[in-house]
Amino acid sequence: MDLLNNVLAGFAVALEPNNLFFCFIGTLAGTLVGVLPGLGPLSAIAILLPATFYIPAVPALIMLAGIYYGAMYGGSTTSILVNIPGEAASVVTCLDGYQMARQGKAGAALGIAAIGSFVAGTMGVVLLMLMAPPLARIALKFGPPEYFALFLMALIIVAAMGSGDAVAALMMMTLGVTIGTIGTDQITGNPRFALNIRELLDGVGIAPVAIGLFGISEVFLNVERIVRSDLLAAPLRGLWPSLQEFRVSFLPILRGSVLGFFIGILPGGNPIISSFLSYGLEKRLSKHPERFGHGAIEGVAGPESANNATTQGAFVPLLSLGIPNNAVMALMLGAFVIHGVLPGPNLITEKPQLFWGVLCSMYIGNAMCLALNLPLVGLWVQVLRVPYRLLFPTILLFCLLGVYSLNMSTFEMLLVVVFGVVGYLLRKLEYEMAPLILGVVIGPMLEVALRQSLLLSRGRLSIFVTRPIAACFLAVAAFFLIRAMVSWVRATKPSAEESAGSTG
Amino acid sequence: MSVTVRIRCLCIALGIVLLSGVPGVVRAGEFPERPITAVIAFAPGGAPDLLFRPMAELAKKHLGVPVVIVNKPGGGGLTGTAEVARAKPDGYTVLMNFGGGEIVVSPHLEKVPFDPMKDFEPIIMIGHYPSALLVREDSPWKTLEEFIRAAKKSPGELRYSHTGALGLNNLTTLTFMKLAGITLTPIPTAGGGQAMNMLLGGHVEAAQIAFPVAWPQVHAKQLRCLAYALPKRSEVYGDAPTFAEQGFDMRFTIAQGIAAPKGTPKEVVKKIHDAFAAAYHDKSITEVMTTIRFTPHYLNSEDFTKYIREMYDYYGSVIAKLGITATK
Repeated sequence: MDLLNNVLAGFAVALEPNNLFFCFIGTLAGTLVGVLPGLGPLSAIAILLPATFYIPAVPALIMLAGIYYGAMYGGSTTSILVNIPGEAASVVTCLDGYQMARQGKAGAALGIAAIGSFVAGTMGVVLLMLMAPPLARIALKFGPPEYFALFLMALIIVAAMGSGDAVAALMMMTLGVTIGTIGTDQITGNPRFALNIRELLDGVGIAPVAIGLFGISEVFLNVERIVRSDLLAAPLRGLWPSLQEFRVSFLPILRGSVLGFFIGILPGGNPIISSFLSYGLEKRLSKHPERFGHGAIEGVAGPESANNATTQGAFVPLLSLGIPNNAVMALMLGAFVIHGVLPGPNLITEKPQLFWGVLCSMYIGNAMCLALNLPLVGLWVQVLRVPYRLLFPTILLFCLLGVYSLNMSTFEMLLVVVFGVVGYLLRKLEYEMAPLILGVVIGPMLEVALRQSLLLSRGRLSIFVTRPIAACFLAVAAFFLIRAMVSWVRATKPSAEESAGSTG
Repeated sequence: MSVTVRIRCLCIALGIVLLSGVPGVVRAGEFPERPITAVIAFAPGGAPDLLFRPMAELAKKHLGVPVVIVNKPGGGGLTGTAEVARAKPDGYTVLMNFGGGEIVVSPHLEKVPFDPMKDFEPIIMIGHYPSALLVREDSPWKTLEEFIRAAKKSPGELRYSHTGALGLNNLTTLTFMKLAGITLTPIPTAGGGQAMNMLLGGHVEAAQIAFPVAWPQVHAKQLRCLAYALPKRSEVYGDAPTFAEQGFDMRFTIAQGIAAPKGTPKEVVKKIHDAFAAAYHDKSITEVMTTIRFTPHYLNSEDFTKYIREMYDYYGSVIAKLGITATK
């Protein structure tokens, strides 16, 4: 069988000592970079790119790929321990992961995050291997109407994902969408809400918002509450998820992996979106949705798998069509180019050794990440024992430096502090931060997709129902919306429950 | 924890943060003595990164100090460009992607935070790449002629994706539409990759993007180039035809070179120039340029300054003649 031959040849390449070495360097660097808030795989790959000049193509690509998916492993660490997303894609992990940590279950959270990431990564590589070219073609079929429908569906599924008041969550989402409009309008080029400040012309970056709203505000809130002790509200309970926790996480991990992978193959597909969607989905599918937000392990397992699967999926368009989906993939393209290879539809036939070698190295890399992260759980958990008065200045410092490292912008450092204060105030008033971030991320994309769709159809709204993929997503969105409305009606009219029950 | 301890902790944290912003002590001596900051005004992963990161690595050998690439994206290239314009003219801050649309096109259409002609000292030009009009390989129009005929038959029906209403690519199409007397519907996207994906996915009929972005697909026979905007054919772009040879006198290219803030001393400019000229002639850079389909075109400081001036005036006249304004 041809595929088997290719895979064996690929492993032969991936297991060469040189390639193994660079795989390890990549995954180690990725994990470290993922742990640090703000600093991400993009910066790490950009910095290491010229160094790849001096090493041959295959180990260079193996290393860079390792940095990318490795970062998704490390991102959950600070999310769980101190409520600061190490990567923007780990924002959702803060919601339940941090609660688990305060209940003494940090070990279980970190463990399931690593395991879920491994399963997702491995599944992603298998899918990549089997279906890359046809998947890439499907991904191209996603145009503005499909994106609009997908984002609308995501917003509706996730809308009331908070554990509190649905209306408050919607308010936060609206605020997020408004914040997302700050910047230059993509379609007309007009500045919006930029207040004549040049740095705002490109909008408010997701990193300052996420780190400010979650991390900095958390520090302010904690400094009020915790007088002499540390972060733990309950004694530490073991370092490994229990059998029960494994059982509960099994399906979320699978669902997260599949969902994440498909979001990853889409141009512009983003681990933030897939982790939010996974969280929303798990909450909707759960028999006890009220547990979410208070330490439900599914809320860690699903999203962490989803964001890893998305990074694997992001390789599909690059390796099968030569089209980079996002900035990291574009840098990978650069690494190819430095070695005289221009990826395109012919890469798999023109350079099979490169293609299969890099693919097989991803299995090995994911295993390395698991091996790197699991033993470290015991070490990371000790961070929670550090007296808070020593911990919090370090946290603040890392947040500020991390944000600065992204664009060398002192303005963004100011933004982080501003959002920290805003987050502190909103959280004191018991508002949820997650819908706000979702609004900031999805709002602008939804708007652009809507307007591009209408430009394409020359103003006809029918474009959303005549295109099959878009129509499907809208149908799913409508289903969830109706279901939510029905249950709201039932909840607010208990005396009319019988009649509501018969129509439901 | 007492209030004083808390305040002390916060002060320490703030202090560390502020200290990291203090500039290094400057000593008088030979240039260069410390690393040079090379700004790319776009997000990582774009065409400038592909070319300038390897070049910076090579230039390091000749200058003796690292050339550190820093991406400062924003405003379609305006933010990073403006920062270099305002930087100290001591040679330690340079702009890597000088010469593109934000220098020669945007200033005619909107207010930009710098003076493209007065705020910079061009050092060296590395090359350029043209804008190209593409359709899918399986579309019914094999030549520009056929495309124009189809467009005339149904004005506004054919849609093309581009990379920004005020950018060089869209300017190319607007000029083409005026010269050919046709109307196409523009669909704005955030960049070359997105515009190309729209075309590949069948959402639009044509795309106007930088040729290097489309090259892998043209090479793999997924996309067809109807025309590109160079005055004469270049073997870098294979058998694709130019606008000029089909009757449209159009020249729209994005030049890429290095510039320093105005007032940088001549000896410093010369040192940077020599280092990058050596890198330019290195075989590995030639390979990179060929791979990404960049047209190598070396110009020294004076010629580059003249070239930019010419291009600036040329695009200004095109915009004025066509009556294109920012509100369009």
